[in-house]
Amino acid sequence: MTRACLLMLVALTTTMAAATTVVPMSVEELTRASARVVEAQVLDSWSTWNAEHTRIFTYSRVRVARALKGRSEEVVTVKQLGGSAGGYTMKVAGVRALSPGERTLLFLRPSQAGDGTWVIVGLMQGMFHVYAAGGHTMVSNGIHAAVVHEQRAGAPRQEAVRPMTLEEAESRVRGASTQ
Amino acid sequence: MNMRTVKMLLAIAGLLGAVLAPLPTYSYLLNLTVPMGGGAPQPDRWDFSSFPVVWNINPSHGSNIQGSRSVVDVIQASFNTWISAPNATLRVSRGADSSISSENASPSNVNLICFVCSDADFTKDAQTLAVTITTAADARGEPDGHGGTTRFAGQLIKADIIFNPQTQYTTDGGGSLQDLQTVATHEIGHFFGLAHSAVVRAVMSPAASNLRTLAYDDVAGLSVLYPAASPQVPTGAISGTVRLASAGVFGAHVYAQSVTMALPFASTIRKTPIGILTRPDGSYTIQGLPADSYVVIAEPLDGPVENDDVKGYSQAFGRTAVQANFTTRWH
Repeated sequence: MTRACLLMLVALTTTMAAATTVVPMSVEELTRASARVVEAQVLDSWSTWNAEHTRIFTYSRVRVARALKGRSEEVVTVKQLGGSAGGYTMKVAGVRALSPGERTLLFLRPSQAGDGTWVIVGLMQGMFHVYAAGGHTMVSNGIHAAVVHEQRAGAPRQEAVRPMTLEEAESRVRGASTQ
Repeated sequence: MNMRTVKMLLAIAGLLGAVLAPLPTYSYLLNLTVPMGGGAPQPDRWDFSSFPVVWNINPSHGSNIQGSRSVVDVIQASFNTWISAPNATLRVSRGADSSISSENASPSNVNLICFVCSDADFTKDAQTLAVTITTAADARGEPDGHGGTTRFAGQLIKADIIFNPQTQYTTDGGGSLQDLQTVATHEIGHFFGLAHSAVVRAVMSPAASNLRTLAYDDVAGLSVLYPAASPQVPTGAISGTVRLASAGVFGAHVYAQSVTMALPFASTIRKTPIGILTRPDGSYTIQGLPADSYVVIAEPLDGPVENDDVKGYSQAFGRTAVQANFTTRWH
């Protein structure tokens, strides 16, 4: 823990409420809100305006390595709000674009647009980066501050998301899927 | 957390004491747009001389918003918090109310604030409280949605703030409900072009909590984007380079922390460190620093704020991630 992080944690414990833009969701909550949970690799991405020319969406095709929840399908198209197209860039704070080649664990539900695409649950919370560390395959969605909040508040919720091994994440997803 | 001990060389010009100097033209934790055709990323910002910047609220809301204050009062107060910030000039006002209740129906000349727009996919999750959707031009000469053309890459032409109609809010603050003014103040920071800050007590921290007032870090960012012609509080800048084994470190979080009890800004502004991220060559310039004595600290973004919170910064420079393979140093 860095000195600066310690200072930050002290600051965090003095004012407790929910995070500003998102309230942390546990792996179990993310699972229950998802129709599919897949470990996948991003193949490619492109951005385009919608038909009404009011929004830019970025579409990413991901190759599914395995499905932890829901039907398995070789390639799934994920839709995210924001991107660059036609001379403009649309941004949504907190939305992290998928990068081609990236390994990821995704919690997905069908887009309510009914266009056959899938969206990430919880804005960006359902998008876990998969990476190697200390001889393990780890996953994280980067919601560290949420853990501090949960611990301090002593809320009766399940543990918030934190970096964990892929095996642990899989176990929790499968456990929540059977509840 | 990566705690590998590695040798890092910090070459910092002007470590202690703010240097009163004209503000450079480029810096920090701002939303960045890569100009069409290439070039250095440019900060997103409004040009108040191009067209009037107004916000249009649809005051309709559901029973998910409770409290004695109206949503209009809350949004106006939240804008006022930013408009009254020292050292910055914002020309933005409330425009005509809107009846738009669909995110996808918001036209280019409306900066919509909506509490009933449920057509966005994020509204399925009550845990996603609100989003701000900003649109910036990638080049000069693009239609600005107001009958003219944009003047620079990164010029903001539209910003919508969509509050999740599934989230339980209070306009009074406190209690177990989400404080609407806290969320609105944060989102309005995005409206003006600010990205998430790695200073945890800043309103623009992705984990800010019950914060209706600005921090020094917020003020510094805003004053860089919209500098006042006659700043109320003199400021300066600290520049330097973060190196690791003689190579520049990209995306190190560098912040200036006061070592005194001085309060150069008004008491309504909370004293916090003022931080930025280093550029690809490891260089940095912390702007908007009020006269004071500082220790400058460089740390990796390895939590609680981390790479994923600032991924747009990495992507603007053609990188996939900031560097976090070093330990904290302070000078």
